[in-house]
Amino acid sequence: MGVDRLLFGPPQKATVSVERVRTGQTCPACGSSDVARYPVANFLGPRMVVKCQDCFENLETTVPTADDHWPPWASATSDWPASRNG
Amino acid sequence: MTIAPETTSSAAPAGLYDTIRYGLIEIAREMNLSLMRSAFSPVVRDILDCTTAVHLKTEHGWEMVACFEGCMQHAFTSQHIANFTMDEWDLDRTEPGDVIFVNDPWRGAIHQSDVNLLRPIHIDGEVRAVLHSTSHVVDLGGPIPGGFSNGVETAFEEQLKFPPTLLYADDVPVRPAFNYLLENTRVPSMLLGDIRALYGCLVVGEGRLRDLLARYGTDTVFSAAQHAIDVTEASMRAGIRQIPDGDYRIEDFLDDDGVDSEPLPMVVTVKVRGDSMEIDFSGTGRQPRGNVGTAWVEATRCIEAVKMLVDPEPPVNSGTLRPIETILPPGSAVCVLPPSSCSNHMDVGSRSINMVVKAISGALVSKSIAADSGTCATIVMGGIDMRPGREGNQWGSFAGPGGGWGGTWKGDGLTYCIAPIGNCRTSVHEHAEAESPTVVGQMEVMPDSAGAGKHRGGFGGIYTMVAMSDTLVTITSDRVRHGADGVVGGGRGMSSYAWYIPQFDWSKHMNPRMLHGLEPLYGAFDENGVPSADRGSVEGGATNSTGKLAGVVVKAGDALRVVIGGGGGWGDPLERDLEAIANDVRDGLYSAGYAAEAFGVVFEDGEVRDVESRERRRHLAAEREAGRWTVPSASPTDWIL
Repeated sequence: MGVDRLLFGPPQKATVSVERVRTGQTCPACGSSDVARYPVANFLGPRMVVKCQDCFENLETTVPTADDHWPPWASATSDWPASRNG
Repeated sequence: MTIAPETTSSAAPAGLYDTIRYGLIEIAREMNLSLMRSAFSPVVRDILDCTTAVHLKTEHGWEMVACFEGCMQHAFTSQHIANFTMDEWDLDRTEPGDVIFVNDPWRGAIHQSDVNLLRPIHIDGEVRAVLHSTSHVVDLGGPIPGGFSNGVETAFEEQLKFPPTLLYADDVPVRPAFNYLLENTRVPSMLLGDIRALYGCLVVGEGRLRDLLARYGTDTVFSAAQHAIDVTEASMRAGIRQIPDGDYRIEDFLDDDGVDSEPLPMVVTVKVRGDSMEIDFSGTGRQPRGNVGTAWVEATRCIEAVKMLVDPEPPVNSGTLRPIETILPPGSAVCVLPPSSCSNHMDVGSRSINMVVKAISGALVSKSIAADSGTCATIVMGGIDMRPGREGNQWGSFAGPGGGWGGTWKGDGLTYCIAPIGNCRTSVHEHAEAESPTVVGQMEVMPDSAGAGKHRGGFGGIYTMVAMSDTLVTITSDRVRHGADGVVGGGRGMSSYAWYIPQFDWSKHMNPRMLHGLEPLYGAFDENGVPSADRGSVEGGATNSTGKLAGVVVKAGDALRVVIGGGGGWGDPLERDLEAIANDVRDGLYSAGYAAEAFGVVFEDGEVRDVESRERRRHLAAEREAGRWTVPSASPTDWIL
C-alpha cells in the first residue's frame, strides 16, 4: 500500500459532497432507472453500495477496493505479514 | 424492553433466546460496573464516560450483540471500532489473553482521549468473540492537557495516537507499550489505574461469557445473539417506517472552529424510503483548520437521533445500525483527512444529532423534539496542587456543566443534563474538591435559559469553579452566537457564556445575573455590554469571539463561571398553560420579566393576572402576525452591570 494515503492537504472547495455515480441499471424492485454507486458507512464500516435512489433497494454491497479510495486514508502496513505483536 | 416473538427457527424453548439476550447484556453491565468501580480518574469513576460491549463474529462481520453504556455515543461507535481493528489484526497470530489498544480517530475512535481495549476471545479454537471496553482518559500527553486541543490544526499537536497496538500478550502487560503510555502523560498514576480497570473488566467479561457458553452451548448462544440483533433491527425498521418517505434537508452551523472566526456550515439530508434511511452530510463545509471536525464517528453516532425519536426503548445492538447508511464527504467537517486535528469532536457531534432530530421532527411533527443545548461546554482543569500537604502533586479533572434538552411533543425538556451525544453524569463535587485544588462554587440551574414554548425547553446550567491553586483550563463550547433552535413555533434557548471572576467573593458573586467586576471570556453582548444573542454579537463584548479556549489560567483565589444555555422550546409559547408558567416563576426558573416578554404573562404581586395576560397574548399574537414580534431567545432580562 505504501505511505501515499497517510497525509492529505485540505480540500479547495468550500463545501464537500459525495458523488452518486449512475450505473445505468434498472431497479429490480421498482423499475426505476435511477440506480447509483457510491461510498457509504453501513453498520459494519466503509462499504461501496449500488442502490436504487427511488426505493433504496440494495443491488450490491462490497468492501471498497484500493481504487475506491474509501475511506481515503489507509494503513501503510496493511498488506505486510503480521508479527506476534501485530 | 422489547418482547421478542416466539421463534420458529429453532428447537430452543420459548423465551430462551430472550434469556440469553439479556444474559449478554448482563455481561456488558457487569463489565461496566467493574470498570467504573476500579477506575482511578473521575471521568470514568464519576462521570461514567465509559462503555463496555460484547461483539460476536456473524456471517456479516463483527456485530455488537450487547453493550452497557455510561456514555451513549460509545454504544453507537463501538461496532465500527471493533471492525476496523479486527479487520486489520491478524487473528491467526492472536493468542488467548491478548488485548489490543487503539485510539485512532481514523480507525473509528471518537478522539484520541477515548481509548479502546479489545480482547479477542477464542471459542473452540478460533476467535469468535471480542470484548470491548472504552473510556475517556484524563491525559495522554501533547501540548494541551486533557485532550480537547482547542486552537491547534493538526493531530501532531494533540494527544498520543495509537493504531492497533498489542497492550497485553497472554495476559502479560507489554512493557514497551505501557512505558510509552506512562512516560507521555501528565498523570501516570491515574492513567495506569484506568488502563488496568479497562483491562480488568475484559477479564471479568470473558469469565461471564464462558459461563454463558458453558450453560447454554455455543451454537445456542450465537443463535440467540443473532435473534437479538434481528429483533432490534425489526423494531428500528418499524420506527423508521413511521416517517413519510422523503428527503429532509437541514442546514446549521458551528460558531467557529477555534482558529478561524467564520461559522462552519453543516448540512444533513435525511432520506427515508420505507424502512431504510440514509443520513447524507453532503454540502457540509470543508474540514476546518481548528480541531472541531471529526474523522469517522459521525458514521454511526448521528444514529442516536433516530434511535431517540423512533425506537427509544430496545437496548442498542448491531440491529440498531443495520437499517441506516451514512454518507460522509471526505475532507468535510464530518470526515476530516489526516493529519487534521479532531480532538473537540463534541460540537460537530452534538450539532449532527440536533440536525437529524430537526430533520425527522420536520417529517414527523406529531413526535417532534426541539434542539438540545447542542454543546457540552466541557471544562478540563489541571495543574500543580499547592494545598498544604499536597504541594507539587500533578492533578487533572473534568467538569461537565449540564445543559437542557429540547421541549417535545409530550412535554417540557429535561433540565440540567449532559447533551444526548453523551448523556453521562457530571463530576461528583466531593470527590473533585478532595482530589483537586478547586471548590465548586456553583452548579445549578441558570434562570431564564430555557427556550420558550407551549412545552418549554429544559434549563441549562451554571458551573463556577473557584481555584485554590493556579489552574490551567480548557473550555470547549459552542452555541455562543445563538442558542438551541425551537420547533413548531417554539423559541431559542439561551446562548453560551463564560466569565473570569477575579478575587471570588462568596458574598458578592453568587448571583448569576450580577456582572459587575466580571471579565467576559466569551458570549454575545449588545453595545451596552448586556448579554443578548438577539441584539448582540460575539465580537467586542468579551475577550474571545470563540467558546473554544485553551490555556486559560485561573489564578488561586479567582474563579471561572461557565453558563450553558437551555434547550429550544416546542410549540407556541403564547399557548403555554398559565399555571405552568406561574410554577416556573415561583420556582425561580423564569423571571416575571422574561415570562412577560416571551409568554405574554402579566404578573402582579407574584400572581398571574388572567385577564391582562390573555389580552397581552392576543396583542403579541397580532404583532407576530404583522411581523413585529418574534419569540425572544431565552435570557435574563434583569442583568446587573
